[in-house]
Amino acid sequence: MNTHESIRKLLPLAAAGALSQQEQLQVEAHARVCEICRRELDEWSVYASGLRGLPQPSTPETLIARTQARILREREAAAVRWNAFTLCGLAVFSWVASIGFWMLVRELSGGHVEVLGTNLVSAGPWFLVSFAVASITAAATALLVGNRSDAGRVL
Amino acid sequence: MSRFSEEMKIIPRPAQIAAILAALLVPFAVLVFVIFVRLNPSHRGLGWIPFAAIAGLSAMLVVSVYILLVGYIVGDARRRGMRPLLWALLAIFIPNAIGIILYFILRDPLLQHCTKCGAAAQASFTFCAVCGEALSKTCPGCRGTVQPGWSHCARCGASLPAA
Repeated sequence: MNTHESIRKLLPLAAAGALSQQEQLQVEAHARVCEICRRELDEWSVYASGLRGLPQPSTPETLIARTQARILREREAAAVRWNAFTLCGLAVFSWVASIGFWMLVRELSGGHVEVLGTNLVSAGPWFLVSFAVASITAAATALLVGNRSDAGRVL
Repeated sequence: MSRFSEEMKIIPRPAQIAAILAALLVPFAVLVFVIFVRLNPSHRGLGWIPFAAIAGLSAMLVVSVYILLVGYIVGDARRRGMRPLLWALLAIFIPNAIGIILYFILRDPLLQHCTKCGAAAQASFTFCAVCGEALSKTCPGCRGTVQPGWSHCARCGASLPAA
């Protein structure tokens, strides 16, 4: 692209006063020697001054705050949807993993592990014990983590 | 880019490699187990093939996803200023993947960064603990955090200037 073409693209911005000082001087210097660009710059200047003369719309005082609040609400709603989707997937995975682990233990143990007169790897006792252990551990963890104060945490 | 692929990037590279290795090795281990341990040599027809295929694929999926989830917890806990090792151990050792669910319920919000000095700060912090810069808009009365759109402070009731 030659100088004429590159300067010509800047003419609307030059007329609107949106260029840097150096670019503005370049455009003006070129317009002095180029008849076509000078005429085009004059036309753009008429448009720019006409636009500046129009009444400027005033934005409501709380528009920015309301827009920010709306963005925040939408972002929170998206996060809630994502979390619900994740937790549903994890619940399914939890069931699949627990059944898979039970089948693995049953296969490896030959289907019989006697504890206190009960076959631990038969379905009933296995799921009763595993979910009791999981629930107790999870509850203890939730209590410990939930009670931990954030004030003393080092980042 | 979708949210899912963004979240996948959080998983550390070693966990991704471990998941790929598990995806390759677990079906093979299941196959070896079915052929050499479970099958009665006198009944070796072709009936074992669908059983071995389903068992191998299921085991591969469960183990690989488990490794990826534990990896995700390590990466995610690190960026939230939580304890990655503690949560990884809980995710591994609490039975039935309940530790993983627990992490997703109890995890802290993402850290924010001070615009002045770049130090990490918890989402609930109003000011930077390193340079004192305000991290969010504050109430002129009680200096508590206020959210966009509030016309009054939720703590002290002071009237807030419009943005």
